[in-house]
Amino acid sequence: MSRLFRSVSLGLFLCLGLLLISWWNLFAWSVVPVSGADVLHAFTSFNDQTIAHRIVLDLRLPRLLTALLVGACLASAGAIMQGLTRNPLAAPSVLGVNAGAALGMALVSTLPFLYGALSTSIAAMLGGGVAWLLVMLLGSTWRVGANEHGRLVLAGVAISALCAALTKAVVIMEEDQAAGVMTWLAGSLADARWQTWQAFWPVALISLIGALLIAPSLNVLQLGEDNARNLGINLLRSKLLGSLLVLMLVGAAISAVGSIGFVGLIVPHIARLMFGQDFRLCLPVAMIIGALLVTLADTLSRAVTYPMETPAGAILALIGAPFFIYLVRKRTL
Amino acid sequence: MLLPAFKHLTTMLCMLILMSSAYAVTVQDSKGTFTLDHTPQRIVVLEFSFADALASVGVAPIGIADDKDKSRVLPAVQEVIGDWQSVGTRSQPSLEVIASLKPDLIIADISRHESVYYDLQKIAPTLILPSRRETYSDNLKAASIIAKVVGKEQEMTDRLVQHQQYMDSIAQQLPDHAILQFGVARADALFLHTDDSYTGGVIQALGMQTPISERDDSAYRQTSLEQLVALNPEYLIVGHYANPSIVDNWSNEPLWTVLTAVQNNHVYRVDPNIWSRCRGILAAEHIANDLLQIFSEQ
Repeated sequence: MSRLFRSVSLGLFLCLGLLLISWWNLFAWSVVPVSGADVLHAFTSFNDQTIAHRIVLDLRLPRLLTALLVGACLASAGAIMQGLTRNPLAAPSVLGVNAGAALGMALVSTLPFLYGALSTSIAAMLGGGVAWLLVMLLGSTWRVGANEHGRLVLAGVAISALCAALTKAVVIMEEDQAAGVMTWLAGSLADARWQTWQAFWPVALISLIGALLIAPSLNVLQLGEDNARNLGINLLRSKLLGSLLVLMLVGAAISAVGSIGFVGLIVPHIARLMFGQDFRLCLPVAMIIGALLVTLADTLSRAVTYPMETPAGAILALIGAPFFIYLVRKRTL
Repeated sequence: MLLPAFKHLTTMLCMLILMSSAYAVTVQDSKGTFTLDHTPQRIVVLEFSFADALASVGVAPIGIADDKDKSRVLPAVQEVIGDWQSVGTRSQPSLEVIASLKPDLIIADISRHESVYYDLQKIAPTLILPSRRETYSDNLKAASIIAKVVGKEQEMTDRLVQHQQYMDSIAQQLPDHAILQFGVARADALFLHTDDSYTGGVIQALGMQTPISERDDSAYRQTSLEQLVALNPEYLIVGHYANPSIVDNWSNEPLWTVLTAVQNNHVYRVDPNIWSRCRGILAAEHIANDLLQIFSEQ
């Protein structure tokens, strides 16, 4: 009873926090002055002659919604990866998916013969998919019984480095496009508009619902592959389905706002710390915390070099990198 | 008997050679003192601004780092210098191609080519000067140094006087103190050229102003639509590197119409290559002509 009470109150607390941070995000550190009251008036009594109202509805709101959904996508992608590989260090940015997606996107946006051949989101998904496949093969996760944490992470680091080097080479060759690709590599929500949101939310929503649906089979996977098989789980199918979901979640998020790392690594750990190991509870909570974290980072991204923008990805890396080191150092994984 | 006479002759020859090399010219470049003991005939330049400086005094380089795209060289410069050999991109010029041209002078950019400075020196004497992110006055100073090295000091002094007069005459036909912002738009980013930029300097030289912002520490500043609204310049001039560019996308947004320049139809398109990449005396005069046309059409 007290456990249930604790979970419910924690959940309510998180939702309230999310609401407050969202409201703060809508007006904080605006170059054109916008107040907290302006935000409320923009929704209740919109006046299209008031610049503050326009900024809230045309710039801030799509940016906030995108931030929320990007956070949810990346956090659940990280949670699924950690569940699939039973590796607490697994995350899209650690296992090469981000770097691969970045390479895919850099290739289509700089190489003339690839212009228009693929949409950037499909290129991001393909690049991420190929990179992850390579990491899985190198880390030999498909071999029965082989589940070495270090090996998988090393493979991820190696493939990430390879992809980053290739991305850099592409950028050097096509210097004209470099500035755009660089902004994109750093991951920023500054240019998220209604257009971005409209292209982003359908894929994101479907993938998020898919993530919630595979939560029970992720729970069974945690018992070990042999036990899972004995319990009647089709291992290959769950792994493929999980991988596909991760690629959709990461691909959608990355093509909307660029490469944002560390959310997928940090958030599942926080969610497990608060709510335990059950993926049915962990996943939705991770989505909320992910949304909260990315929105917070986006708000701060306007503050750091006000009135200019710092990419939100840089802020998250600042928080995420020490956390990664902490996880590696902690031996009770 | 014959030997002393021969000795005398060699001494005289030596003196002649010495006299001709006494012509040596010394200037200060970005790495210190630069000395050249001959008038260069085969010059390779690694930035467009240097080609502009040479063309302004009627000297033709044999090689230009033109990003493998000849159309990037200002038409007015092309008219003077004729054809040239491309030596690759400005960011990664090909040392092999440069060496194969057997230059007797290389002019490099301190911002882009400092890392290959010593390699360039092995090929030919290298004059290294600012180009990327330079200001308008830096550009004119660099042009004077280049002219001195190629033995055209007097020509450049005359050319600069003529340039000043030309800019002043255009300035008189343009509105005083109009606030004008230039930027280049790519597919996903707008970079405004601040008052510290080359183009900002040209605009000021023409008697107009660039908007003052709280944070002006770089020549080019990436700017969001919101920051543009806060800056709200009277006139907005955009060079589009992409089609459609981010500014084209913004122009479909309701917030775009809040800009004063949009409401008064004061948003103009110019060639970003000429306004941003070329930089030089001839380029500045081209910009002045563009502005004259923009304001006379109103």
